[in-house]
Amino acid sequence: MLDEYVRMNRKYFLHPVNIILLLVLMGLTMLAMANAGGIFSSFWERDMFRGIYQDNLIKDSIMILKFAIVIFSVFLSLQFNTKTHDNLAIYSVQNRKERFLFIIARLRIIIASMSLVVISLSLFLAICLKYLVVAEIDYFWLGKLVIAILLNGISYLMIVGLLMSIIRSFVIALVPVILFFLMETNQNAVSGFTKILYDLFPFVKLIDNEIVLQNPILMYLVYISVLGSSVVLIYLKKDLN
Amino acid sequence: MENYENLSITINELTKDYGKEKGIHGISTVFEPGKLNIVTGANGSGKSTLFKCIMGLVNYQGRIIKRKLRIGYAPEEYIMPLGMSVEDFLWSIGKIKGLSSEVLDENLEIYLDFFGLKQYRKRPIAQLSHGMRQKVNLVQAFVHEPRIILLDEPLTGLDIDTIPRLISLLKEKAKTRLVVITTHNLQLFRFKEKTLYKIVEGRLDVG
Repeated sequence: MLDEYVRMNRKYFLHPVNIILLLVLMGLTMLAMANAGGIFSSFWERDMFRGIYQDNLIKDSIMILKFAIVIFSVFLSLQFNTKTHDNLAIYSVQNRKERFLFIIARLRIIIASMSLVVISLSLFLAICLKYLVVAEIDYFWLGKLVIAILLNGISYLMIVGLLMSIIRSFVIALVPVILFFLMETNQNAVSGFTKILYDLFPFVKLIDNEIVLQNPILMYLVYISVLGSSVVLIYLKKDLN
Repeated sequence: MENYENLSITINELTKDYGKEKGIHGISTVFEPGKLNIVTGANGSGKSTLFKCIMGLVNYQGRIIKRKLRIGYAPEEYIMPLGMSVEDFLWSIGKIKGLSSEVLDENLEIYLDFFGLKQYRKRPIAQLSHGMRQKVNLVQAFVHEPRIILLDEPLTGLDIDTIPRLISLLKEKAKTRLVVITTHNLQLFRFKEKTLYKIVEGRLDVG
């Protein structure tokens, strides 16, 4: 039955309007990344300043990728934490077990969608690296980037999911934007609220072209699991009105 | 032969508190199959809340005894996934309720035809009128041929041609199933095979 709930959630999400919005979002992100790699510059210019273009492509693309994930998190949150989506449960859920399957299906779809976007955009970055600025691709580095950005995106989704299951307001969907700007502008914070944010959120840093996370990946996985479990527990208990 | 006894819903001291005046208080009753059960009451009297409690959608105090059967439920507030097509939506509900593809296909044909929705099956729900959405809301409640049917204000938004046909369908289904509906249009149900319940400020009167 989980498969049926997943299928229903997929059909709910992947309708033509959303597919167009998704393609536009991904297209703009790819365009921005290609621009950072100098796609609009001449071949000779890119060849002459190859090192600079390589650096720009990596630095700018990671920032672009991080921001695209924020926008995508807001988009997904607005799709899946609404009264319309809860009403799908009203139509299809009759007991606790089905409620559990419904929320698990929801989480599966949002995590799968986020993964698909992150992997696609990271592969596009690899293509730009190889064919635009003619750099060697370090697949280990690329894998680390995918994992770090994915953890970042999923943690945004979980925190919004948790907050929206308590407070049903569209404003909550903007939390990733606030977190993003807070963390980007306070990178040297050593204490206070922003320090806690850096400890909890998988904030992706680029130091000497290396992907760096503040804490071990396992810690973030535990943190995401706690948030995810809380989302499920609250959903099982709350009134579906 | 259907076993009527097993389809009953017994409610004991059901209370759902939403605050000062809303909700339902200490409702005890039994909904029996064989006759159409009609719940009436003013707006905000608690009719929809009663259905939500039976469906287990909200937390409540008291006891509801019912068989673990699939229930066909059409809520009053039919907020539907606007991007989904009529067919995708109904197909998803039917599959979740355990129907095989063949039976689901057959039932969809029957009910889409009954409600005049056949030509709209591929359309996104967003493109349907209010009345058409109510019809989709009703089809999803019928499509898996449930033995227990709960319809909250099923006549709302329907055209004058569909209303008498739906009432006949409900009357027919009530003979072999447990059918409970809420309505403000009691005068349209001009037959004897019915039991009336009136909710006044969250408390129940059986007529």
